[in-house]
Amino acid sequence: MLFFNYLYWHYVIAPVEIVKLLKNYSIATSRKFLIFGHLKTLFYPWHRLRVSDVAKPKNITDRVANVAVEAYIRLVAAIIRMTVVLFGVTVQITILFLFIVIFLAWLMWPALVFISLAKGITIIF
Amino acid sequence: MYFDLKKAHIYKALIFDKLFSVSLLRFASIIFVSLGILAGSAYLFTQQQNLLWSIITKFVPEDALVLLKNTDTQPLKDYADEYAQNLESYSATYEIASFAAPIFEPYFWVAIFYILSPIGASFLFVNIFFEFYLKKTIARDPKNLAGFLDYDSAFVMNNAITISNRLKENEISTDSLFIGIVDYEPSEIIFMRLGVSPKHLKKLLADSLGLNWSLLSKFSLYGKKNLSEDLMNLLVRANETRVKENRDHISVTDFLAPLFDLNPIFKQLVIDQDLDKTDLTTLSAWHEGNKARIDSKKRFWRIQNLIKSPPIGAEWTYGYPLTLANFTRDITLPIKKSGKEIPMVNREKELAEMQQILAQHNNANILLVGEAGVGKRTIVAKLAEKTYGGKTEQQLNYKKILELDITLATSSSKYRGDIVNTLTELLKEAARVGNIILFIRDLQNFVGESEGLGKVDITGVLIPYLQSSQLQIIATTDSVGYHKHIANNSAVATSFSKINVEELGKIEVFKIIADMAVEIEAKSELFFTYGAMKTVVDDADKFISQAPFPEKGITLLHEVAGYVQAQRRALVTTQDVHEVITKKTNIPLGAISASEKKKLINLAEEMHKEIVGQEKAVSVVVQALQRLRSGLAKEGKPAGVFLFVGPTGVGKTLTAKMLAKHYFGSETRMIRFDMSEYQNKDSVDTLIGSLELNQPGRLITAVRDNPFSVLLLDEVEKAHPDILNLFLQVFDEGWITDAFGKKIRFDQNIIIATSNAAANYIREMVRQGIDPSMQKEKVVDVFVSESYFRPEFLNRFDEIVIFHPLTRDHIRKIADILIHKLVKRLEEKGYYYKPDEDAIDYISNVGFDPQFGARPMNRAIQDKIETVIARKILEGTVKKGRDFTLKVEEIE
Repeated sequence: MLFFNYLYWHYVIAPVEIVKLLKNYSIATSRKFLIFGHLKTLFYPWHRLRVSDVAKPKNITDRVANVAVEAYIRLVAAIIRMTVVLFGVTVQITILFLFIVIFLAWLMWPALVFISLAKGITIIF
Repeated sequence: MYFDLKKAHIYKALIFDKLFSVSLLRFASIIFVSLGILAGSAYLFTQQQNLLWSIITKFVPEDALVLLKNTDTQPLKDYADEYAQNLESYSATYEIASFAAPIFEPYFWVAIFYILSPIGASFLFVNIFFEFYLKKTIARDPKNLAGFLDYDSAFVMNNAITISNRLKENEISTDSLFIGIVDYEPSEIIFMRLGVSPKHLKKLLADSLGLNWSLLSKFSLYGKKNLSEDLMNLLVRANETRVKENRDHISVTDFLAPLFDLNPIFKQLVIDQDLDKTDLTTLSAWHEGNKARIDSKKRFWRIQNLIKSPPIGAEWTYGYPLTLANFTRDITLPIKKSGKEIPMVNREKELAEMQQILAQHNNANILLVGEAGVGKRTIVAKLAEKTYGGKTEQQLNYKKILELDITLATSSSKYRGDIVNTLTELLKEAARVGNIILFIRDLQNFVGESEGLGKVDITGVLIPYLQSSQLQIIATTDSVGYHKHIANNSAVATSFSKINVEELGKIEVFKIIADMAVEIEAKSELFFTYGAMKTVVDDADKFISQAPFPEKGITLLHEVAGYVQAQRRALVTTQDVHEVITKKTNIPLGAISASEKKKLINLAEEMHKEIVGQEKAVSVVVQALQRLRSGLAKEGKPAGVFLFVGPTGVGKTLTAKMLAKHYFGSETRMIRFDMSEYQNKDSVDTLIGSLELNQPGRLITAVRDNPFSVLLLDEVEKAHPDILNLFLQVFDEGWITDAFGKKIRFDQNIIIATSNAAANYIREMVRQGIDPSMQKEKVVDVFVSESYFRPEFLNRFDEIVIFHPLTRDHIRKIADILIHKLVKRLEEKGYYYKPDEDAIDYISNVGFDPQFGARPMNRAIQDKIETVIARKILEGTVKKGRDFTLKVEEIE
């Protein structure tokens, strides 16, 4: 009877829990890399630094220079944020891939055990 | 309701454990998985290193190497045969190579990996199946109580059934359940918390029930058996506890409270530890709470555990707090470093309110009002933990809470203009950075007209930021500070949302103390019994009035831990807590020693050595002390409230002093108020303080500074009626509130009021040969009819004690006592005075006045005897070391 209980757990209960685990890890990864947050604030100034806070423009040339420098700072900030976003997306995809592998391995586990044992014994003997 | 363990889901877990030995399974899974991983690593290593080749090349000549490189191991064997006799190293290599060659081959390890890993992983899955499915409480039939048992309680019930069978009971009794709990190793911690060692317990049960433990300890799956009515009742009540606490399972600790009612052996055991059923319920609730917290932390895959730290780059859209860093402390730093959750009990309401207010667009500022030590800072730290972890409102997530040190900021210059500029810059920066919530402690020191050391009025600087949406500020203050400095300043008061932080109740404080005790246990080798934890809370509540909960409880807990550690012991018991409190207060607590018992029983005799006559008064006082020490005094009221009435100079004050000496350890533990000084209505302010004049009251200060003392109210009938009304509440409730809103407790004071009211009536009764003590109602009638006291005032005394006028005999005895006190004093200085009877008679005549009683006696001894002795010492007629006496003519 315990054997049937195990089968029920293995093929009905556990797969649902694996999906829940995937959901938890996806949410955690999304939060950790702040994917949506960084995309929303992609071109925001880096730590709210503005050139005009440091160098007050005295004439039109200064103003143009300030705008150029600020655009450059924002671009660099965007690149840094985008790097984090891409890294986060990569991690998300990796997690998804791993979970799919784990999920499939879970469903095929009895067969996998048999194949693995057979292969191991064959290699030795 | 019924009970059938076999039909419960949890029974499968018991069968599984019996068949497969879960601990062995767990061990096997670890070993196999580890070996599998090891095999995989070895495969990679051997493939990379070609290990066999590197060993062989150390020992075998080059031509053989060429051969070996291109063939399998057989040539090596042939080669080794040829050189075996001469070259030991070759033979060693041969042996290694032929026998152990496979372990140096990658294929070997691949095979081991293929075999061990799936076996190990399968064991692991079976383990997970057991832990997370079989052991889960699933109640398919809500009428079957067994369906609600958790694994431990199911194991214990099964144990009980087995034991019942071995004891040949017709029905399973509560005794069997008790034995089942004792016999289950994980339950040992519960009994240790109760202060009972499992060894002692087993002996107790062996003696009471005639058990042989060695025969009982074999676990087996049970056959069907009926439960006794008591046991069924127990299970029903355990289930009710489960429902009340909103849990899905019945645990072992749920059995304890009903077992107290239904099993006399367990009941006596608990009572012997000075505990009761309520304590078992509290212990159970705390134990379950702890277990749930530990289980929750272990489940690392839960979303709450996965999102503990803030995201990468959360701060990139906010500014740098460069100047602020010099004048603030980041409250989230200790949280980041320790990674531990800040424990907080019963402040969820305040925390939720704070988050709601801070998330507002305007006036998002909070003022926490509460006494120092109630936990305002802990609430702010908890909020910091939530914002750091992103577990609060979206507008607050990932914000930092910085504690602003205004004193440091204002000490940067002595000019007010500079100070204002510094503060303005700091606030401007905080607003500009964008993710800062400023925390200001003791705001009352920085608002209002009061200037002084460390105080400056920053209202002007603060208000624009309080009223804007750019910055959020949390400030703390106490009740007195709020009413004095902030409430009247409408601009400041209206900019804050006030949240009162009240002192926690004993139940909440117990949870804090218990959790903290567990933390201390983890760092030291101490173990706190439940009784010790409970006594910390009870004794802190009764005997420490200078600070509120939880601070006073926490302080006492650390003191007790330090005390026990200094004695190099490991177990902290109730007695240790009592000893620490006794050292602080001089009040004897805890178990009464044999010598103390003897002293209490003979106390009347002891007191009569100094108090002459007044048998009834002494008897009343002694009885009160005996009740107090036996723990029978009423909770929440003063330890005793007495009215001593009688003529002047008959021993009323002396009796009060004796009471202070015998209960509080010294005659000096007495606060005396001459109530004739409080005859005006304004005197109430003198006693309880004045907010307008910012003056604390004399009574309040005296009692606060001396909480364990006799409070003597002399000539109470002379006090203004408003003063007597004040004491109505003190006598009844044991506390009053001073002018500043602080509660002052009198439950550790013995209050004695003295009065000469109706003295003449009492004298007349004595003259007529009537004992006033036996006609107390008549004396009380005089008090009321002559308007000395109102009936409701008289009603609040535990006892009205009538002191008799002194007789001649009494006077002589008093003279004798006082003269012998003088003799002792002189002896200490080396002079041996032998008073004769005539001298004592003379002194008793001159030292007594019908109007003033025995009061002039001391003066008479001083004038008549001491003066003469002093003169004789100076003249040289009285010398040290020699006896002398004084004739009546010399002292007249």
